[in-house]
Amino acid sequence: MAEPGRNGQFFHAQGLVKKFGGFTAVDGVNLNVEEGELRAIIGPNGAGKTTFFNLISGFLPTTAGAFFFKGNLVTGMTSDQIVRLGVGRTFQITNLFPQLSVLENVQAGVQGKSGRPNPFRSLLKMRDSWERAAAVLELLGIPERADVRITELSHGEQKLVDIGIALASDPEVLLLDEPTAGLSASETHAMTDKIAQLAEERTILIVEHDMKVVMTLAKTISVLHQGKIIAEGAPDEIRANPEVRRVYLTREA
Amino acid sequence: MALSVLPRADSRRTVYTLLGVLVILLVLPFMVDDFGVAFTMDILIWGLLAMSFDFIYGFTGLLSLGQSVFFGLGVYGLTLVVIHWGAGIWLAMLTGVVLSGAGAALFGYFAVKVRGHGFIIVTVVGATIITLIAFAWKPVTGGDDGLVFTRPLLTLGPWAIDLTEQLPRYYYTIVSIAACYYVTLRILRSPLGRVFELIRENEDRARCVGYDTGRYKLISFTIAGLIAGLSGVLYAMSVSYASAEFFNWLISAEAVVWTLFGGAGTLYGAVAGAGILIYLRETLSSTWSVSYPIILGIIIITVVTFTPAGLVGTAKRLISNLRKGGVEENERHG
Repeated sequence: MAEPGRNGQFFHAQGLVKKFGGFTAVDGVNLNVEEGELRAIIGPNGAGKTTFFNLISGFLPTTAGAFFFKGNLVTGMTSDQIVRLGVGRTFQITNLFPQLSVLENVQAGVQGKSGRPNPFRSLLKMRDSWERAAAVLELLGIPERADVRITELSHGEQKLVDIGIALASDPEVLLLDEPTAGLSASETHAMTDKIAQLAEERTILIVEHDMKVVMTLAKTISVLHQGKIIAEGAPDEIRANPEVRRVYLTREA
Repeated sequence: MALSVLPRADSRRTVYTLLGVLVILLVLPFMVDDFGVAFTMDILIWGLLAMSFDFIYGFTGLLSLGQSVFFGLGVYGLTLVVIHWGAGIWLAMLTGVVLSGAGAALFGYFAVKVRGHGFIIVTVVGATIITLIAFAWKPVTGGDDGLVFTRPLLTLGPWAIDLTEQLPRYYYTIVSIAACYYVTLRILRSPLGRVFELIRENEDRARCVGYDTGRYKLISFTIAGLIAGLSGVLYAMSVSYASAEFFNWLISAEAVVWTLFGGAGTLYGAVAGAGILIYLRETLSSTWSVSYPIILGIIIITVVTFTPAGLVGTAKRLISNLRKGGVEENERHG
């Protein structure tokens, strides 16, 4: 348990704690994720999953503990610094640039990673940036929606654009916060395939409610309950774990 | 790669449109009387102040009622160096604009930290405090009496042009505004301008694609301050006096109304809004000298209610819809 932290581990959360007043949302979470892994984090509502994501992506200040990425201490960095470091994320609730087009949304992700914005260049003439964004739309299978404004998209398409923005910065780790929430059965199926495809090239952490999605995608599952990791293992072990069944699976079924 | 989805650069059309407007403004003095020239100059200077507001609000999403402060700093920067140092036109203009930019950077440093409605309050209160200081600091600002100065000559190489004459002053004003408009437009259409729009659309997400949004809000606020400063400089050259009243946030509020009337987030909408409303105010007040504000108010409320994107913004949207419809029509038939 008393690891030094900066021993070259890829993704390492060490005793992360988040308190809101008297309520402890995240209560000493230790989590190690290997490079290239697809890790699922599950847990009942209010278990602290999204809060955990908010801590490692710099959206909330950490009360105690530390998060390291490739040997860098990330805790204390701002969310823009963390993105530039290579940790991208998506959001449970749609969080896009509503009046811009799909392509412009994704291009924002490309632009954000490519250094200081030059006031003397024409945005429209930045061919590389737009081509990279177009390639991301191609990858997500929505190139024909490029010119459509976000406000005119379906919920499922918005979820894809959300992932597109994160992907555009070519993150080494992608944090997906309930990517299938609110999607239809067929959309969920397509999204699951898409995530499996994305996982071939990068490390992914996914918070998900849909058990079928989780069991299909992840080789390792961490179960969060009342801010603590209560179990970690392969899908079959998690399914068989009596404590997990008690706090989570039975209630879900 | 699907290059067809890339946005088309329409910069050539923009340049032609701008050149067209500039040509009209250049020949205008041959078509209207002296009053018309003075009136146009007035509209363009206030239009530039509205543009400053549009920059910070329409493009960055920060509703600032502090633009009058930077307008006032532009006025006083120019006036004070002319009065005390006998500065030439270029140094005086530079002083006015730099003072506004520095003022905006300092003011913005505190203001942009406050998010949401708090930002509006901070700008109003800040502007009010600065106005009170300007009124009280009579030895420097002249307070409510103001300061009168003699306009410096416009020196261009071997030439020295007297700007007390209206016609040269008109040309000096429109060339300055056209240059500022062009530079502003270039910035807004650069990757930096896009960062401002990302902040307007969704500040949290803008941070999450890698931008330190506080820093970029401050940059935008400073640029908007520079634009307001130039409008103050040109206004001072137009009236040849400075008054503490120019800092008053009610002047900012007018810029807000002009911009929303014309259409925020379009830049020229702000100028058009200022033009239309100042024109209406003049014509209405000559007919109904007492009740004209009521009529003007009803017009403003009607337009802002029924065209939330403003007059120009709505027109722009209609045209682009027609165009899109036309393109789809062509594709269907072709």
